[in-house]
Amino acid sequence: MNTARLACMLAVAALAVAAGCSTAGNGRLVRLDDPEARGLLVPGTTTQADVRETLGQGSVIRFRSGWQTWQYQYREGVAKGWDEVPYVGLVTSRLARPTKELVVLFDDHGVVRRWSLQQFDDREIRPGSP
Amino acid sequence: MGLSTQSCSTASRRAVMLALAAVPGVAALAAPGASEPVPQQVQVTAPLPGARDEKTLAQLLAARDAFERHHALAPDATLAFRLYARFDPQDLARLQLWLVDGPRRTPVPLDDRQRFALSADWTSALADRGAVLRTNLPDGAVAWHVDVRSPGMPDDLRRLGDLRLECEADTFHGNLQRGLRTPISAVLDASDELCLRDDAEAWFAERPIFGVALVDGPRRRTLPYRYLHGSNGTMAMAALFDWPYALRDRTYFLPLDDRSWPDGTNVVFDAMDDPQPGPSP
Repeated sequence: MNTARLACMLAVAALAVAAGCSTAGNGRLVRLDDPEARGLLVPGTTTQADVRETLGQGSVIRFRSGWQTWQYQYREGVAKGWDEVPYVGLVTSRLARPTKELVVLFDDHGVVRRWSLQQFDDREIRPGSP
Repeated sequence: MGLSTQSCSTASRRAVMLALAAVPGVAALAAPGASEPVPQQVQVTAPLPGARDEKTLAQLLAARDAFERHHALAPDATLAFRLYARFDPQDLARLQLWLVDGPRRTPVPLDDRQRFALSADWTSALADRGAVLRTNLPDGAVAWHVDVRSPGMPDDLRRLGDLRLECEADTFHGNLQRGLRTPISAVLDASDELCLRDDAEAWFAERPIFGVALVDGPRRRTLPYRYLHGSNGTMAMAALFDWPYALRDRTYFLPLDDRSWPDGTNVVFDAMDDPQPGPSP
């Protein structure tokens, strides 16, 4: 396989995956903003069942104390797994990846204690990057 | 081994005596008089202690050498070592530490955060003889961590240069934290670039945390959740690391690959039991 053909294949692959997106939960996170989150997630009141009904099931991290976090994420562009693919990852890891993330903290009674909603560019930063 | 053999033979003798006493004829022969009550015997057994959690003095001296090589990251900081309970926080109440040099065992005092500093008596000659720092807790119960502190930093704040220096002194130098030693890590270690990877070192806050932010003057970055609680990885190999158990709600990683943050950057913690912040103005 010559170099030009390989480069062409890589470019096509990068373009194909760049058009995608990935999400966790039922997708409501895409439109969720801070005021709406304040209405949905009331510390001391909102339960896990409420959150599951509203946002779907997030990724769960459980702690020894009985507390747990549910994480929801919406990422535009290429899925992060492509970064681990040889050669393709060299391109995809440098693409902009606007990411929206909601993390909800529940106490050991399954009631919301905290939540955080933020957006960031999840582009990989490599040594030497500006 | 001598203790083990002696204990086993003593236990065996007692077991034989008890077995003989249980045979009616033999019991009658052994008894001082048929009408006298047989004294009750109580046998107390305890398992021999298994391996204790320990590090070699050579590991700690290697961490000190790396600390001195990279001291510019935190010029005013001092070096200590800290022990964390990896499985059960209650272990800290009974934690003890000794320097063990052959048959000699010297207690090592710990401060109220289970920290200790290297003694001037702990020489490389002592390390070459195989001296170890040994706890009284079972192997695997303790997470060992390099502790670098610039003066004047409160509990809910760390200095990024201190943490970078902890990574340099620990990861693949002192080699104290549990983790996977992959070939690529060895290559990065050889080129002194290991602490430019954002998963090179796991840190533990003083309290359970819900957020970590980097703050340098007006510049602020709240870290994505993947830097907290080991949320970015699979639990399939969790047992190979220090953080997945009692320390998980205090665990954070840092974007060590982003060198745009100066060493004087503050690392600020948002505790789980802090109140929910109000709306941004």
